[in-house]
This record gives sequence, structure tokens and C-alpha cells, in this order.
Amino acid sequence: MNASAQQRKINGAVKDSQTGQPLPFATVSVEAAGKPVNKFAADQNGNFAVDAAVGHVLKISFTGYEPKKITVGDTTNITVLLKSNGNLSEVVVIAYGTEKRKDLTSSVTTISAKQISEAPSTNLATALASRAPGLEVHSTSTQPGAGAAVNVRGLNSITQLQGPLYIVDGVALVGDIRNINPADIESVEILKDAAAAGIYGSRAAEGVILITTKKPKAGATSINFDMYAGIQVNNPAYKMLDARSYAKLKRAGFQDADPGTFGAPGTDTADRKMFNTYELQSIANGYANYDWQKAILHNNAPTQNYTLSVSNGTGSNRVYFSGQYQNQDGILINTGYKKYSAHFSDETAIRPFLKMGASANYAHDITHNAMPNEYQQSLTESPLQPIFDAGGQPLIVIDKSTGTPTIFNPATLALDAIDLYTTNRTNANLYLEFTPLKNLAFRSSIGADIYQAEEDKYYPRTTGPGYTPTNGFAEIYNTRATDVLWENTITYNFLKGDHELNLLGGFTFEKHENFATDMQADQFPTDLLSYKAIGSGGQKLQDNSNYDGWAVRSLLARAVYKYKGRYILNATIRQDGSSRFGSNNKFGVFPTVSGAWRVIDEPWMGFKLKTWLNDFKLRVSYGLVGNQNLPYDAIYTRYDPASYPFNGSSITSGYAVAGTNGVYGNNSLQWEVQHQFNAGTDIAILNNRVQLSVDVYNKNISSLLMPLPLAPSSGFQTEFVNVAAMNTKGIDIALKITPIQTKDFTWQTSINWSKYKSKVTKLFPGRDSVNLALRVGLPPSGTYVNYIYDGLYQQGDNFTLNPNGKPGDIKIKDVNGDGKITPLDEVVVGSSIPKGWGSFWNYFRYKSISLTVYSTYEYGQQLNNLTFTDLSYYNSLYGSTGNVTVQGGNYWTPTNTNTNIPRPNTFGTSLKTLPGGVGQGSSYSIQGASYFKIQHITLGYDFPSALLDKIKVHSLNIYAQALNPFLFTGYKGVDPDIAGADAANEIYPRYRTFLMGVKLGL
Amino acid sequence: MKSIKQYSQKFWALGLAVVLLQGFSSCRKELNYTPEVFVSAQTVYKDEPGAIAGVTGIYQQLQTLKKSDYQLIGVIGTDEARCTYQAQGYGSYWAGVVGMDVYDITFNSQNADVSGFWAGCYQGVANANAAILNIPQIKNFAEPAVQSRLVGEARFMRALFYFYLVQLYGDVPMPLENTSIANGLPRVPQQQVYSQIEADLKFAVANCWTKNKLAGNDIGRANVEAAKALLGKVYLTLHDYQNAKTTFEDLINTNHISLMQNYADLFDGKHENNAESLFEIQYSIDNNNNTQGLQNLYGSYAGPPVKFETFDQHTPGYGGTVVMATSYYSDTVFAKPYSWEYQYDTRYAASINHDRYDGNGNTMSWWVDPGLPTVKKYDISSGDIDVYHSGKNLYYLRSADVFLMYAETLNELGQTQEALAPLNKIRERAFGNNTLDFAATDQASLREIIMDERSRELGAEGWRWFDLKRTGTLVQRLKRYNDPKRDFMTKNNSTTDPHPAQNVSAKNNLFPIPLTELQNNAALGLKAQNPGY
Repeated sequence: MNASAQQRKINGAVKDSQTGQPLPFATVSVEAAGKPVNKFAADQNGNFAVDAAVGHVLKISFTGYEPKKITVGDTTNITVLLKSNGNLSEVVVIAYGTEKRKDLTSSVTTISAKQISEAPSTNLATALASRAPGLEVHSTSTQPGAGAAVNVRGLNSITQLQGPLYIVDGVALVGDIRNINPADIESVEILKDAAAAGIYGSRAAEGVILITTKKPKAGATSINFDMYAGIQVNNPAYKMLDARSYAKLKRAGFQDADPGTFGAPGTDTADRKMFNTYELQSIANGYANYDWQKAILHNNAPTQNYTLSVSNGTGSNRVYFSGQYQNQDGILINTGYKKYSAHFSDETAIRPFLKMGASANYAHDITHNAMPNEYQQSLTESPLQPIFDAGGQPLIVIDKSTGTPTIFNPATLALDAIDLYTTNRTNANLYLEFTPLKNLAFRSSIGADIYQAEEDKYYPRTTGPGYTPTNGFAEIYNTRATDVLWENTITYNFLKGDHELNLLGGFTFEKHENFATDMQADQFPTDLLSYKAIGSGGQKLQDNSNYDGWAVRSLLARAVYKYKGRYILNATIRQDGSSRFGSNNKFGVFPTVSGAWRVIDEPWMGFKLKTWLNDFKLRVSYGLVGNQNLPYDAIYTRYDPASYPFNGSSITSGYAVAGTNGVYGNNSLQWEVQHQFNAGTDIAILNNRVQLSVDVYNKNISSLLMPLPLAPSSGFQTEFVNVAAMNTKGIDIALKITPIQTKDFTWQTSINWSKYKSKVTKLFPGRDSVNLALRVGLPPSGTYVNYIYDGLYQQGDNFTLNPNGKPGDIKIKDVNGDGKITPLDEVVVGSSIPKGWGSFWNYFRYKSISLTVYSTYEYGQQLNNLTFTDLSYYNSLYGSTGNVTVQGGNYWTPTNTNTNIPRPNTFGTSLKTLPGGVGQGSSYSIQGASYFKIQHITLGYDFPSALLDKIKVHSLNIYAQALNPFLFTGYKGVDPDIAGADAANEIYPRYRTFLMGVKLGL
Repeated sequence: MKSIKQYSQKFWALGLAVVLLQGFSSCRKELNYTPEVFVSAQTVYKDEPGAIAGVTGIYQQLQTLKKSDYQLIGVIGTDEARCTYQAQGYGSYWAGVVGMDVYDITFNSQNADVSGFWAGCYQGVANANAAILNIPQIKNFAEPAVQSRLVGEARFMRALFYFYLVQLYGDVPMPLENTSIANGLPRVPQQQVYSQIEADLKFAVANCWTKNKLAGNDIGRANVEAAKALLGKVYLTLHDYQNAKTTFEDLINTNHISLMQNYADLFDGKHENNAESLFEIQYSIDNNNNTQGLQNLYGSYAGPPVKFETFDQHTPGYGGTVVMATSYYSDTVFAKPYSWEYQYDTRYAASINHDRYDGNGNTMSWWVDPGLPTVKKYDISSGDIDVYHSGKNLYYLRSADVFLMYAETLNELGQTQEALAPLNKIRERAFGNNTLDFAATDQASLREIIMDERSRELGAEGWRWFDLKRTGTLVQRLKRYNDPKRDFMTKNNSTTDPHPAQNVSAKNNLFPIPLTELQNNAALGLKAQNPGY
């Protein structure tokens, strides 16, 4: 190489290889013989002019793109096309618009279509579980069609939690988002901090979730067909005692309660007093065993789903439509979920400056619910009791002396009772985009959510709830809700030199109405017509209606200023006027401000550094959002209907105040206020093989609604006041690593980890606590306060704390040492707030075969497992006198003292002296609920494109999948992941699903 | 020349602007959206139908207060009725009910019935206050006589609720129609509460209508006779015997109150709002919300009270074995069963179910309580649905009570001879003739006789506890008559059955103030509790 070659001016432009867009301020470095000589930056149009000699090497780099080396040759004019290598050029949907991910100043997590459709779900919310740090989703039960409780960034209120705001293509959805087919979704953006969500003002306190459906890709057409089919296999959580052990337990319990009457266990006279004729027959037959769980189980229940979608992006009219059929049979007989849905979207450029678009989604689903107590009852029924009579009908045992059944057979509930929940939901959106000038755009969009749901119930006279004297019970509950959202925005973009300014102004209006009617009747002459002929019910129990409506009108504005592409400042402000605020406080203003610094784009970041550091950004934000979910009851003192039969029988109707409602109205009520601070960083290194996003946030939430308990002498029970304050702070971490990436083998792993700490900082003026569980210093909810379980009494123990107690009874700890058990001995015994939670996702690919393992975890929390206590402790008051679990069979006896199960106690008199009485409970039922749950394991195969091209198929993937295969936990219940897992009754059993599926793209 | 494109743009721009502005202005009025299912005080008390509707609500509060186990207050924990042995095992809530009977440690400020009764009475007061405040302000009332009558009814009801509160709890907060609840309500001395009750009842006497003027669907409203009777009872409670005498004489002589000829008719459910009744709490099976389920508390599941009768929740006498008659009520005060005096007292058969029979027609003596005598007055009648849904009314005041109170008043004034006349009216109705009338005796003996006669006549109707407190005999009578050890427990070898005689003391002449009141009433604190609790 001639070292003294001439220096020439090399002109060039740096562009994106795919879109042809210039890459502003790209770095151009000149190297000679491997050593950097000079460094320049391109201008905002990507143009550069550098001095270099032939043989020098130009290294051109731009964040988010693969750097390129070009040896200077004869040409003096070079166009450099850089290939995007990651997600930094990607466009993210934000409130009222889109933004490039690299320019985001706020905390937004995107969940991609691929992640959402990785595993099947009947509720879109569950598909999002833990996919974003800070997002907590728990199903309400394992039943097909179950709802989900969603939470963004910890606890946001004490009393007015309602879940985040969902916006789907310009339609505001209130309530659940089950109607959306996950296969139709392009992406879901979770707006977590005040800067991202604050522009939604008084709706944003619990976060905002933006859902964008698939739109046709420009210039392409495609047809996709997805289907799966599989079976669900029972994974029992409880193993109950068999007939012989149950008989032994029952005898021990009755004998202990009254040895005089029940005498020596196992004798005929004693048995005849405890067991009914059928049970005695079973005992005589050598303890014949009947499996109640099996009687209502539909094991290996099938599940299937089919989606067909067509997308045509050619021409000026782009269309996408899809249809879905989903059918999940339940693992309990006569339960299941079925869904039919269709989605349509269209975009037309009717003029060069005018674009119109529409989208519509219709979903119709039917859920057959499990009956109340059906599953719980099947666990506690006596295994000596036959389930069916000689004719194959469920057996009902009548007590001759009282005429009422002593056994309400859960099989009758499962077979004969009806609980049907049907919904029809239509979402429609129409928008107009008018672009008179290059940088000025108007957008107006109207979205409507029309939701109709109906629940039909019928309990025939063979079931518990429908038996004499009820004689059949029917209910028809209908609710209809409409939500109309009208959004108008004007945007203006201004670009000059190093400065870029994006302005947004807008006006929105939302109106929501719902109307519900409820009819209930009983005394039916026959069960044949069920709820469909509710008029034939002899007694009308209820004919009721309820109406609710609200409206919000808002003004909003946003300004984003970018300097040199690496300093970004963002400010938003919103004014909400809501009919839900008290009449003295109708308007609220919610400003936010945020900034970001793209450190990676600084010119002083060396080129060498940039070979391994791909992205480094710092963000900070601060803003004010609100929560407008104030109950109407809180603002108006309500009079309720009352009636009185003057003259002994003629009903005079009237109104009474302070009845069961008991709320005294407060018309100065205002929204709950949240100030949120967020600081975060996004780092990517080693060619984006390691991507890390860390956010820390601190929320000061004040003006929280608290039901101030009023003295009963006022006639009322509570009044809502904005007095309380709380603080939630936390950290969200998302780490994505690609440890191995070779030609044939890839391993990607992604870990989300979140943690938050919530505590109440203020309650009522002058009062630091409402009760032991709700007080300053503790989280606003989820704290368990009770007596401490101190083991079991043994023989020879001192019984001063419980004079009626006997050896084998539960011992309560006298915490304050005053010699008696009083409410002062109640302490905090646990919390359901985890010390950390998140997800662990692993993806392995070898050539065309892929293996995905997705798991979620949560640790450090406890749950109050009353169900397990009820199912293990044989006691008429504290637990139940039905069958108990195998663990419950290990109860205390004078010879078996090394156990935690108390002695069976049929009348429970020994617990009477506890201050809260016999139902008080203790920390006995608190269990650790940490878990590591493998949500799904998927093995897939992508057919090679060489083969597919021959048959003109674009992509074909087949896969086998196991859902909920393994759950590692110490919690003894169905699933600690289920919201409300500590409810006193389990609703539905636990199961694994095995399925196979096909994804075909043409 | 402007291009078509530019014209086109301007057209669209103008069109959009018009649409937007239109929408913007129409949205403003939507913000004042009051939910249309709400009714508030302003919308209720606007005219005569509204005033009647509001006053109806006050009566419903009383109906709700008395249709469940709150009705037991005044009945159990006395020498007439007690909780069964089984009741303590029905759950923690029932353990609290038993606590009210036996005055043990569960009879505390957190007792559910103690707190619930307090709250229920004050809910009634709140409704009455709203009516008293708003009805006089209604302009152009259709019938002015009705307007003042409604206020009179509301004041009668308020006096009724405060009478319960002051007797049970002593000094109590006293919100009236103009009282603000903002800074808490202090406990007002009993004397002041009684003065307010007196004033309210005097207003009721002056403004309510008499029984015979109330017709049709107004039967059952508070009336002049009831107001006078209650006023007399209040004076008697205050030991103001002069005023009591004047009031009773006025009532007996000018308002012509009478007794039913047949005692059993009072409780057969077919003679509601009869001539003897002065004020009843109305129930009906026409509406599920207006039924009462008291037989379930007073009945027993042991066996039918009549031989060979089918026995389930549709038959009289069936129930949950919660309350039973004390041996005093079933076997002492009425004289021994099957004695010649007992045979002629028509009240016994209507008041007590003494025996229970098993499937073979034999008298039952089941282990512990279910086979023992129970109160019969709440047995359902043929018109009722079942034990949980009965339309049978409850007596609050009836003429027999007035006569007995008059006798007590005269006796306390030293007029023992004159006291015999009203007393014997009761005896003559009970026995059908005057052979078992009482003869003249001294004041102290007559006191005992009147107390016993009140049990025989008004047993388990809800006044006993208040009678015992008024006469200062609560502790003494419970210790003497509610000590089951002497009778049944020795027979059954069960010494742990709780009974009031073990625990009752002078402090039990007052109930504990509920904890929720002490905690949430800014003018009170934990120290404001009644002594001993």
C-alpha cells in the first residue's frame, strides 16, 4: 500500500437497507492500517463528507444496525446501506401515536405477537402473565373461561382497585379482554410509568395496556391457518381418606365428643347413631369405597382451537380478516368454554391526503360454569356413601325425622344443574386521518364497545340449592354495557437542523353506560323447562334492574423535543372532567415530564466501545396520574326501597335510608392522586446478545378513598373520604440473553424479575390504624393478622389459656403474656405480597427444531389456606365433619402425638373460649405459597423453506405442547398462582393439558 | 389558480372542523350525569306519597330489628326463657347469643347481637329523624291532617327506639332531626333521653289518630292508644307513679281498651290487629322481605308436640332448638302441670309446648334439651309458609299489659285494694270466671303476684328483661329461677351447661356499649363504656 496516497473528499449517504430512510448522525470513522485516524458524524440527513485516501477503511456505524466497513476505492460517492440488527429501530405504539423505541423516555414494555400466541389461552390477559416485568396476572380459577386479575406495578389503591385501562385499536374496553383472539394481535404495549400512561389522566393510575391488532403488511398477501387439539388430564391436588380410615376418624370424633353415648368405637349401637343406613351397609360389606371426585370428573377432556386469517396489503385498500373457533371441554362434567369470533380491519387511502380505516371484532362465547361447592363437596362426601342408586340415578339421603336431605349429592349438581354464561361482544372502530401538509396531521377516531352478557341458572329439585321448599330455582341475569370513545388529535412535526419537535394536541370524550336486569324465581312445578320458562315459577324472588353511566371529557397535549437525536425531552398534560367526581371537584389536571439521554449516540463513545456496547440509554420521568373509580354510593346518600305490610298483609312500599348500604354521601369526593417517579436504563451489549432493561419507580399515592367507619349512633356505617396515603416503590428488571448462537444451534433466555414494596403512610387523621391488618406501615392489603398457632396441647399441659380445652386441641400463643387470650394477642402472621416474582423463558433451536420452556415464579408470599385446613381438621365448627385429606388422617391421639393435625372434635366446644369464638382461626392455616411453575413446554418443527417453496407454502410449523406440566411449591392446594387461592372453597380441580398443533402460512 | 387538490383539502378540512366543534360543545353537558337509580332525601320528601313512603321506611326498620335473633333481647337472660344446651355449639355467632343469656365473657362490647341491636335502633332513629325534619317542610300537602299524623307516627317510632336504647344501654348518644354528626355524639344522661321520649310521645298522643279512625291499609300504624300506653310504661319505668296513674286512667277510661275473650285467639295468627292489640309489628308472607322466622328459634327438632303428628318445617313446634322455656315459666309460675289450677288456665296451652312425642306416641325425654318445654307463642299458623317464613305479627303493646301496669302503679302507690281490679280482669279472661281472682294482700306480696302474673300473661313477648330491670329484681330472680342445676342438670349429670345464675351480677342491668361505637364516635372513647365491661 502506498502510504502517501492522496487524501480525497469522499461523499456519501448512510441509509437503512430495508426502508431507504437516511440514518441521521451516523458515525463515520476513517481507519488506516487498522488504526483509527479520524472520526466524523453524518448530518441529520445521513450525508457525510470525509477526507480519506484510497485504501483507507471507512467504518460506518449506527445504533441498532450492523456496522459496515468500506474500503475507499476509486468512487468518491458512496451510499452505505446498513442492515438493522435488533429492536432499536422498531416502532412502539404509545398513547395517541407511535414512537421509535430508541426515542422512548418512558417505561413501556412491548409483548410481541409471537410471545402472545406461544401458548393457548381462553383469556388474553393470562397470555400476558409475567411477560412484562411489573405486570402481574392471576387467573381467578382453573375453570375454562375463567377471568383474570391484572395488576401493573404493585398496589395502587386501598379500596378502589379496578385493574388497568385497556385500549384496543381506539376502543376502550372496561372489564375483561377475553373477547380478543390472541392470534389477531400484533403487539401489546404496557404503559407503566406516569410519562407513558399519564396522558390518560384520571384513568391511568393502574397503568394502561394498549393492544394493537394485526394490520396487513404493505404489498403482501398472506393466509394463515392455526389450529391445535389436545386433552386435559387431571392432576389431583387433594387425596382424601378411603372408607376404612374415614370410618375410624368419624368414630374417634364422636367418641371424643360424647363418650357416654357413642361408647366403644366400632360397636353397632355407636355406629348406628353416627352412620346412615347406606354407610352401615358399606361398612358391613367390608368398607366399600366410593370415589366422589371421580363421579364428577371428565378426565381427558378435549380442547381445540382453529383460526383462519387472511391479509391483503396490495393496492390502496388493505384488508385483514380472521375467524376463530375455540372449544375447551372442562375437566368437571358439564363444564367448558366455547368461543366463536371474527375480526376485520380495513384501511383505505381515499385521497393522497386522506386515509380512512375501520376495524371490527365480534366474539360470542359460552361458559358452562361449575356449580358452587360442587368440587368442594366431592372432596368432603363420605366415601362410605354410595353415589348412585340401583337405577343409576344420583342418590339423595333423606333424614326420616326431619324430612330434609342429609346428603346433597354433588353429582346431581354436576349432572342436572345449569349455570350458563353467554357473552356477545362487538368492538368497532372507525378513523379518519387527514394530512394537509407534510408535517401536520389530524386524526379522528370513534370506537365503540357493545357488550352483552347473560347468566342463566337453574337448580332442579334434586340438588341442594333447589330442594324443597325451594322446589327449583331459576335466575336470568342480563347485562348490557356500551362504551363509546371519541378521540381527536392533531400532530405537528417540526425538524430543523439538530432540533426535532413533535407536538400533539387532542380532545377526547368517553361515555359508558351499563344496564342490568335480574330475575329470580322458585317454586317450579317441574324441572323440565328450567330457566327458559321462568314465568312458571310459583314465587317471584326478584325482579330487579340496575343502571349506571358515566362520562369523561378530556383535553390533552404532548410535546417531544429531540436534540441531536440523543437528548429527548417529553412533556404531557391532560385535563379530565368526569361525571364520577363529586360535584365540588369536577375537573382534574394531570401533568407529566420525562427525559432520555441516548448515551450510546454520544460522539465521545468510542468506536471500540461500540463494538461490544450496542445500546445505552438513561431515562427519567415524573408525573401525576389519577384514579377515577369512585363508587356512586360514596357521593350520594342513597335511599333504598322498603316495604311494610300494614294491616298484616297489604304491602305498602316506601323508602328507607341507611339500610344494608349504610353509606353516608360525600359530594366533595375527588379522584385518587398518584405521583410517580421512574428512572430506567436500557443496555444492550455483545451484538444485542445481552439486553437489559432496569426501571426503578416510586409512587406516592394520596387522597385515597377510605370508608371512614361512622359511629352506629349516626344511623350510618361508613362515609368515604379522601384521606389516606400510601407509597409503592419497586424495581422491574428484564434481561434477555442469547448465550449460544451458532449456525445450527441457538439458545435464548429471558428473565423478568419484579419486586415492589407497598405501605400505607396515612389513614384517618388522628388514627394510625383501622384494624390490625390495615394500618400505617403495613401494605394496604394482603396482610394476614391472627392469633399464633403454638402447637397442640399434649397430655399434662396447662390449660389456663383454654379451660375447655383437651389434649390434642389447638394451642394459641399468649403473645402479650397476660395469662389470657384476647384480641391483643393477634399479630401479623403473613402477607400475600411476594418478595419477588417474574418469569423465566428459555428457547432452544437446533436447525428446524425448537424447544420453548416458559415458567413463572413468585416467592416470599403466604396465603391463608382455609380450604386445606377445612379439609384436614375434622371439626364441626372450625373445619368440617366430612371426609378429610390423607394428611388429616394423621390426627392427634394419645399414642400419636407427633403431628400437627388436632384431635377430631365433633362439637368443638373446646374452642368456644377464644375471643372471636369458635370460627376465629389462627396462623394454623397460613402456608408459604412460593412457587415455580412451568407454564408450558413446547417442541416445534419448522418445515424447511426449500421443501415449502415447492408446494408454494410460505411457512409450516407443527408443535407438541404441554401446559401446566409441573408446579413446584410447598403450598397444599390447587394452585397458589390463582388469585384468591385462599378462598374458603376450591372451585375447580387442577389439570395438565397435552396438545398438538399446526401453524400454516400461505 | 388553486389546484383541485387544494380545494379538495380545504373542503375536507372545513368539514372536519365543523364536526369537531359540534361534538366538543355537546359533550360538556354529559358531565353532570346523576345515576338514575338513586333516590335521595330531596327526591323522597317532596309530596304526600313521598312522605308516606319515607315513614313506611321507619316501620320497616323496626320490622327488620325484630324478625331475627335480635327479638331474643328481652326474652332470654331472664327467668322466663333461656338458650338450650345445643345453642352454644351452633357456631361462634350463636355462642354470642348464648352469651346474652348467660352473661358470660362473650357478653361483651364485640357481641354481635349487642352491637347489631344498637345499630338497628339507630338506623330506625335516622329514618325517623329524616321524616321529622322533612315532612313539616313539605308545602301544599294534600291532607294536612295526614301530615301531622305522619310526624306523630315518626315521633312515636323515635320514642320507641330510644326507649329500647336507654333501658338497655343507659346514657346514650341522642341524635335528633337537627343534630349534626360531624364531631361525634356524646352520651346524653338518661334523664334527658327520657324527657325527649316523653315529649315525643306527648306529641304522638296529640297528633296520631285513634285506632278506630285508622282504617284499611292504615291499620297497624302508631296510634293514640299505643302512644298513651307507651307513655304510661315510660312513667312506670321512671317510677313516676303519679303520672303513670293519670296516663293509664286516661287511656282506660276515654279510649275504651278491651281484652279479647279467648286468650288463644291472640296467638293463632288469625286475629291480627285485634281489639286488644294496641301496636303490633306487622309481618306478611306476601313479600319475602316481610316475613319473620321466629319459630325456628323457639321450636325444637326433638319431636312433634302433638302425638303422631308429621313433623317438619311446616308444622308448629318444629325449630332449631335455640331457646326453651325455663322451668320457672313452664312448671312453676303456671303451677304444676296437670294440677287442677293448671287445667283451667287457658293461657298455658297457648303459651307452652310442654311435651314432645316420639314416633311411637311416647313422651320424649331426649338427651339434654330438645325434649323440654318450649315457648309456643311463635308457632306458625296454617297461613304461613314454613318456620323460616311466617307472616305472624308480634305484639309490642296490648291492653293486658296496660291493665297489669295499672295494677302495678296502684300497688306502688299503696293502693293495694284498687290494684286488684285491673289484675283480676286478667285472671277472669284467663280462667273464664272469677274463681281464681286474687284477694287483698300486702304490697310486697302483691308485687310478687304481679310479677308472676306478668309472666303468665305476657311471657316471652319481649318485656321480661325490662320488667326485671324496672323492678330491680334481675339478679335476684335469675339466681332464684334460672339455676337449672336444681332441676334438669342433676338428672343428666351435665354440670358444664352454662346458665345465668352462675354469672349474673348488678352490672348486667346495663348492656355493654358496642366497641364500634366507642372506637368511631369522636365524642366517646374506650373509657366511655358501661361499668364492669
